[in-house]
Amino acid sequence: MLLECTPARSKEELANLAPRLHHEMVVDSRIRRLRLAGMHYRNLILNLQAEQVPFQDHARDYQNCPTSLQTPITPRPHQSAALQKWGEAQGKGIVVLPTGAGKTVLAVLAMAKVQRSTLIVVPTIDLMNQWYEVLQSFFQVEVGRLGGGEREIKDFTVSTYDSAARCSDLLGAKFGFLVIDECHHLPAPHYQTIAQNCIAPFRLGLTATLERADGGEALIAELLGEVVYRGEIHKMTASVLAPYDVITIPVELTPTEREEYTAARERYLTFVRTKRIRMSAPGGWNQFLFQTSLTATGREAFRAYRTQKKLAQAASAKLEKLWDLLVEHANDATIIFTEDNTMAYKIARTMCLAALTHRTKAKERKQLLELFRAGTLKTLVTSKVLNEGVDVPTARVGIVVSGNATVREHVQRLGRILRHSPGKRAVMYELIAADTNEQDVNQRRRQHNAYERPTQI
Amino acid sequence: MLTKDLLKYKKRKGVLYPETLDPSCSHTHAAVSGFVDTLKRCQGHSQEEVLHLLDESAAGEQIHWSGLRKIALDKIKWSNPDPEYYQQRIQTVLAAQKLRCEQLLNSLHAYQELFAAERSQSYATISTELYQDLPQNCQALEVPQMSVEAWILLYNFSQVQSLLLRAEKGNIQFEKMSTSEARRFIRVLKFHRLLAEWGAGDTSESLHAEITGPNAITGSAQSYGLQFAKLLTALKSFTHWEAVFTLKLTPKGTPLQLQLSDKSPIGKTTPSFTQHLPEEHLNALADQKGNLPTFQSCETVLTLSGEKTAVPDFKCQAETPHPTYVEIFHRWHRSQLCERLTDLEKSSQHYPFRLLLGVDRSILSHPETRQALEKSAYFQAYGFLFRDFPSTKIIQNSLHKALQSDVPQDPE
Repeated sequence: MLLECTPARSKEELANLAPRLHHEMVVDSRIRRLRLAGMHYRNLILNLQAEQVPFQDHARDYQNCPTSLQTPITPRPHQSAALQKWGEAQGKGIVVLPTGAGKTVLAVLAMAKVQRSTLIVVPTIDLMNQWYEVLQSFFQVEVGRLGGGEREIKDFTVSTYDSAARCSDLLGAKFGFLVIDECHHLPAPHYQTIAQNCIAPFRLGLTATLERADGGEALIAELLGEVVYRGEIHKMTASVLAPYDVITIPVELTPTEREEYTAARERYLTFVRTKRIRMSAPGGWNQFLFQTSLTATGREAFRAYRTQKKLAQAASAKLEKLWDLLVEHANDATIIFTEDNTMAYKIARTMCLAALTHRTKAKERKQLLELFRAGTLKTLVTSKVLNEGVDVPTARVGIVVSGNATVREHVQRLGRILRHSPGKRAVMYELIAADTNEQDVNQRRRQHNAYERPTQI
Repeated sequence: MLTKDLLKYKKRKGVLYPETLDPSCSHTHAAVSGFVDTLKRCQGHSQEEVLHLLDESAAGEQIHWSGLRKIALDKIKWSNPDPEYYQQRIQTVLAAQKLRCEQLLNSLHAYQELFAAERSQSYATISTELYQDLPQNCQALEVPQMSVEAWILLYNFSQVQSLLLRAEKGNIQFEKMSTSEARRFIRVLKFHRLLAEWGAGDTSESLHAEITGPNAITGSAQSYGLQFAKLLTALKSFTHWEAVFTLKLTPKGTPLQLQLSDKSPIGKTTPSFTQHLPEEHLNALADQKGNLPTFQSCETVLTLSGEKTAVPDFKCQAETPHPTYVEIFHRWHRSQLCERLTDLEKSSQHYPFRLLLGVDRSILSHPETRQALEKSAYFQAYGFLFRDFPSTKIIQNSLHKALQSDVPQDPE
């Protein structure tokens, strides 16, 4: 992508014209030109125009798309407010809304407003197909897809993060509007290139859970703009989202499991104490990993750590309780969440259920979701792939058999069952092995306003 | 694939040392020998069982098993499950759901027994068969038959290649290099499509090249990185070279150096760089659905008139009256192209083979060669043009056209 000033300007001259871009400019001896990441295109153009510097723009390869909504949308108050704030921020910024609050519709409204060719980036193939159908129905134009074996670039294109990152050099100049769905993923090093290489002056980030443990939200703001609107889950319940209950069910380990658990945990904790590792401190986990790799005792401690964690997560009483819940909610659409694929397939085999994991092939995945949305299939077991974005409005019951301590994962999981429909009351069960580390994990992931009124049995 | 399992190294004063296995160490030899023996027993087992067997045999060993295990998983030939198997699974799941919703049995065990009776199978069989198409249930059809030494070399080679995926740049210095070797090296760079600058070194016989690494490019860094890592295979076929690669293991990490030379103990795991079928051709040919002729790399030397020879790049795999080959001419092959064209115009009908000529469009910038190509009846029938690198489709279409024109005309 090339932007040519006539006459040519040196780095210093350009730096004077656009002082904020000074540190971003690199002299590339290979092509004997100044190089600047695509994301700075807007600022550079605005600066050159302000200083009345003549230039030829060979970079821009996107079109104005005078399309209009074929299906009219009446935005809900929070969508109108978010759109207005985003417009006031010059068409750049992040909107934080809980799952089910209409982030997709908000993006459609923004697309109708900016009238530029648009790239929408989503984390999974299921979400890509979901967006594809939504855009086709609202705009009634051909929509391109990139990812999951599809490679069609149109004025409106939906891509997975992986494909967009791989093709970022080809896509970078082709779009004037960049929409990043579930934008909390963007700080991953490989994914950053999507926003860095893209010249799109208009940018919109959408997420329900912006905050990251590594503080990556600052980077997201750098790439997409600041947070322009934030809607809180507890303020939207009943009006926008289905009302819900969160029920924690403690289960007991069997005597054999308890014995093994106690022994393994003791071995792990003894090592941690001996090495004076503070697991809760920043870098504590990395220190633990490093120390355990050094000696045979360390490796044994690491095995003990995994054993005690696995025993708590896969306690046999959880399966019994899970069965009771499935019988109780036999006619409700239910999603069972696990921490890993092994547990997901164990449950699926034991109870003859459909499992949907990253190993599930595209055709089967599509059919399972269709059956689930249609109400033909009542139960899905999943590890992580349904955590985010996928729209399953029929889901009313969620059962968390195991999970990690992050707030993000649990808010996203809760979001799967909160799509509003008349008379719907959602319920999320959390199965916790009593008197194990799972209790701490459970407490840590509850540090969110979504958990303000949980119920404990 | 070169995953993190194959990334073991030590850092000392800004220099990286890959943790390679020492083939002369008796303990390493014995441990890898145990690994090879275990692998031999894996034939016919599921992937899950193979992993379990390998983990069991690795217990207590200090060497890096995850890397060897990763290579083994990549090299084993696994059974291919039926892609439509999931339809059967969905039917089973829906049948089980019907029973669950109708009977509302309080006991999981009672439900399993009832469902097993309904299907006239034990529940254990139903449970095992339900997800038998998952990768962990695929069977090992063929395990690699490699010696202990070959495993060690492959492991060490992969360790270095994994580091190269994180390179910012590489500086390669050839102390002594003949003109033909220099041309071969430049051809390697071109074949791998690497960004490089090269020039004469301190002496007339030396050559210096600076190659851009995958960490220093803005797009397609992954596929570029794999090409960059493959350079090592080619480098091993040269002598008298030293290379310094600058790497960053994390985006904000300190630059580190990896020093290699023709004497580095990283082995040579593949034959010399004499034939090569680029990955995109392999992938495109594997995925092809139409009836276009396929091709493969070849090492055949064709004898032409006047004791001249031609070394074609590809050979057509379709059954034809005479073998059909493709020779690629890049922009530095202009003089050879002119010679070949003259020869084929005169004598092609006497040769027991058909030779197609693929020509880089940049050669057309030379007026005389352009004219020769335009006038050549042979090139019109058996030639094609490409830009930078011939696509699979263009080669296949040209082969198809050539094969069609070779079909004898019906006298009627």
